[in-house]
Amino acid sequence: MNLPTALPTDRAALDRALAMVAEESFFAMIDPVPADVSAVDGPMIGARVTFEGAFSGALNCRMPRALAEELTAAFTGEDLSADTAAVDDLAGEFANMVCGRWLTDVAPQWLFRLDHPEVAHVAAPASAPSGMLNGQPIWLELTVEK
Amino acid sequence: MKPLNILIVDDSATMRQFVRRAVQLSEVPVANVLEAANGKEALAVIDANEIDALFTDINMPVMSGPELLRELQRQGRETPARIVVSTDGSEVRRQEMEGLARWYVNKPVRPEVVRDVLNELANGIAD
Amino acid sequence: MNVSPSVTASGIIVPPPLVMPSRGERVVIGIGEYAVTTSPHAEIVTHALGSCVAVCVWDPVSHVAGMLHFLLPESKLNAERAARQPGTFADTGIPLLFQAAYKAGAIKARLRVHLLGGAAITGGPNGLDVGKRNALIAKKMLWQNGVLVKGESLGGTDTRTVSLSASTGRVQVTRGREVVEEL
Repeated sequence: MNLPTALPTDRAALDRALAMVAEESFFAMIDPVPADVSAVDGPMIGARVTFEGAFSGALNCRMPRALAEELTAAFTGEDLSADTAAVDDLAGEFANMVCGRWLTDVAPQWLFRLDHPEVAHVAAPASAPSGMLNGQPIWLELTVEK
Repeated sequence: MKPLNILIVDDSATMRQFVRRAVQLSEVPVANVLEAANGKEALAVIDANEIDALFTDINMPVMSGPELLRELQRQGRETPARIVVSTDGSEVRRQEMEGLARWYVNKPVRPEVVRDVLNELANGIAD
Repeated sequence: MNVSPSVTASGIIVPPPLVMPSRGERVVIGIGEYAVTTSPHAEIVTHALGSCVAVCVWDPVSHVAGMLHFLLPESKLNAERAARQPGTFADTGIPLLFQAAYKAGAIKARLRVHLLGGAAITGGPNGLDVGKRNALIAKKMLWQNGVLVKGESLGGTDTRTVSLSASTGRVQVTRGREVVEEL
C-alpha cells in the first residue's frame, strides 16, 4: 500500500472529530469561540496522545480542569469531580477518542498505533481556543510528521 | 437465561466505568462485571473465571486488543464472545478483526449500542 | 393555577400544568405540557414537534404511559417561566414526567423511553442548533439517571406529530394522515 504523499493537517476534520466526540459521548455541543472569551481562571489539564503508522504525530488537548470534571460526570453518569485520577483518566480518553476519530477520517486505509495518553497540569495556551464546550474553552493542537 | 459474566478490557478506567454502567443498565441479566487494563490482565481473568462476553479496546499497553484476540483464537476458546470497542473505525482494522471478534463498535459509543450488542448476544445464546 | 393532579373519568392522571383530554381516551399536549395516563386504552398525542423534543415513557406491565413536550434545554434561561410551566424545559420537565409516571405505578427498570423531535427548524428559537441541544440534554439526563433510550426519531428538518399508545407502547410519527415512522 502506498504511503500518503501529503501529510494530513485537515483542521476541518479535527473540528469534526471534536464535535462528534463531544456530542456522542458527552452530550455537549462545540460552540464558536466568542470574541471576548475570558482568560481561564483556575487549573488547566492537558492530555497528549502520540500516534504512529503511515505517518506519526501527536494530538494535544488542553482544557480547564473544571471542564474535565464536568465531562467526567457526563461520561460516567456519576459525580467524580473529587476523584483526581478519574478526571485525569477522562481527559486522556477524551483526547484518545478525538485523535482516533480524526485518524479514521483522514486516513481510513491505514492502521495506527495510539499510545496511552500522557496527562499533566499545564498552562493555558496563549493561542485562541479551538472551540467552546459547556461554555469553557478547549484547545486542540496537532503535530504530524513522516 | 443464566446471568452473564462480562469482562471489560480498556486502558482507560473511565471508559471501563462507562461500559460497566451501560452493561448494568442493559436488559440482559448480568451476574458479574470484571475489568482489565490490558490484554495480559484480561487473559488472567479469563483463565480464572467463566467469562461469557468480553468488550475490548484495540490500543492498550503491555498487550493490545488484537494480540489478546489472537491469543484467545490460538487457545481455541469459543467463549467469551468478543466485542471490540475502538476509536479506530477504519475498514482496514475491521477487516483485521473479522474472524477474531463477533462485533465491532466504534468509539464514541452510545450506551444503547452496548445494550443492543448484549441483546443480540443473549438472543444467540438463547437460540 | 391548579397545583394538584386531576383524574379524568377514564382514569387519566394529568399532573400540573393541566391538560384535559379533548375527547374520550385521547390526550393532546402542547409545548411545555406533559401528561401521564393509567388508562390502558389511552393515547397521548402532540403536534407540530419542531425543534422541541417529546419524551415518551411506557411501562409494558402497568401500561402507564407518559409524554412531555419541552421547548428548551435549561430552565436557568427563564426562571419565571420555569416556575410557571416547568415542562417548558428539559431539566425541570423530564424529572416531573418520570416522577408522575412512578406515582402512577410505572417501574423505572421496565420503562421504555423514546425521544422524538429536535429538528433543525429555520427561524426557530435561538437558531438552528436548539433542536440538537434539546436532544443532547434529554439523552444526558436519561444517562445520568440510569435510563437507556429504547428508540428515537430525532433531527432532520421536518416537524413531527407524535402519538403514544398506552395499550401497546407503540410510538407513531405522522405527517398529515400518513404514518411516516413507527418505533
